[in-house]
Amino acid sequence: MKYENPLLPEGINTSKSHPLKTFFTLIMGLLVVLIVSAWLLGIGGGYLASKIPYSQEKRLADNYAEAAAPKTELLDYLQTLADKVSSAMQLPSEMKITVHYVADDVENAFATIGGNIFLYKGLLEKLPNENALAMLIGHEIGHVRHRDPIISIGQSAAISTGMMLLLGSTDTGILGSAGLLTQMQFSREMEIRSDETGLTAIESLYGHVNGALDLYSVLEAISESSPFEPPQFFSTHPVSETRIKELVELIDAKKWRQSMPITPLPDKFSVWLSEG
Amino acid sequence: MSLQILLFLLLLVLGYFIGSYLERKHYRSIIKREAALNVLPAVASKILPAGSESYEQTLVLGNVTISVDYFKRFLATLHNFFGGSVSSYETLLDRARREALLRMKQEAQRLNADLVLNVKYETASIYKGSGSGVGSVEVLAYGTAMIPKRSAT
Repeated sequence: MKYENPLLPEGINTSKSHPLKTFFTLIMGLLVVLIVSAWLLGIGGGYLASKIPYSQEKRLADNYAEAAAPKTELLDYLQTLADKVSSAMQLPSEMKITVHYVADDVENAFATIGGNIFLYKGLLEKLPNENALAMLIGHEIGHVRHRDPIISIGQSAAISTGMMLLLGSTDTGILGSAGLLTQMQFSREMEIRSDETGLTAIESLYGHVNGALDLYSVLEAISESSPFEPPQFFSTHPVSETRIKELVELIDAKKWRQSMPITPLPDKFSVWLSEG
Repeated sequence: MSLQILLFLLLLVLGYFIGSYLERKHYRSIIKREAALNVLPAVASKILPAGSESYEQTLVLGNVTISVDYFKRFLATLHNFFGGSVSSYETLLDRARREALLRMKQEAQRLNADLVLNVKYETASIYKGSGSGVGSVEVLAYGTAMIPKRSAT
């Protein structure tokens, strides 16, 4: 009876590759897959959302209608200015702009679905003239005109749904959370396009662009005074210089007049602001 | 949310360092004991060799359960996504099989066996279906130990 077990060499049943190396290769691969699919989902979702009829978009934004604030002189003034800018922009008639004023010290302004524009006290009280205010409103109306808010929602809805399916987490709300509607992120291209649309409207409204760029000086000053919390108006991209440069180039190319008298804000504007 | 991520990373790092320390230690012990027990062959043959009348036969068993660490489990999840060989489980199963065989051989040696015939393995995964819980693998090695009859010697 002659039997024996040879001593087998080590490692014949296991991989030689270091587990950490495998780990990083796989993690990097997963990240690439996630980033590429998020990018594709964003493009697809944004494209589909841009096809949503404006009447449907308005239905989604119904909850803003209830929050209509009592008519004040300030709101009246802001709404009239927004209507003037809208008609200067030749905004399609179904895109009705509704201005909301928020008596909060946050230096912010944003546009959301259904033509709703929110202006914050913190930013308004820093504006030096009506032209800068009109530029701010014009920029936000530009977003509405380009359907940026619904596109942004479509993008984040597609991305969160896709990630939910891919990663199997179920705690992500798809749509309808207030945070999604108010804190939407616009891309740099969207901001620049809205800047240009807004400025074009300001030029046809006032016949010149003097004072409009004061808005950007105010925003620059705000971001310099709080470098860690730049105004949300600029937050999608810290390169605000690029945006100003684009506008200056546009003014030069179109030979728009820049040395006309600036329209001041109404005398009681600061009183209205403090009244809330 | 960030706390969850932090906990996850902590478990991953702990899993990696403790898991690989224990694995190295286990392999050292396995290699040492395999060399020592090499004098007792264990074979898969079912046929009784000539001269087996002078042997008593008895069943010997060796059983081990090894748990997978958090890091290996996460790596296996990544492997599940991309496909390919799940290399992080290879060492786990290799250790379990060798440890089970060693325990079987130790039992055979205790019974003064000369040889173990008809050696087989059974594998079972424990915690199956526990979702995200960390799983374990059980390996049972068994065979027929050939023990020389006292009277015959």
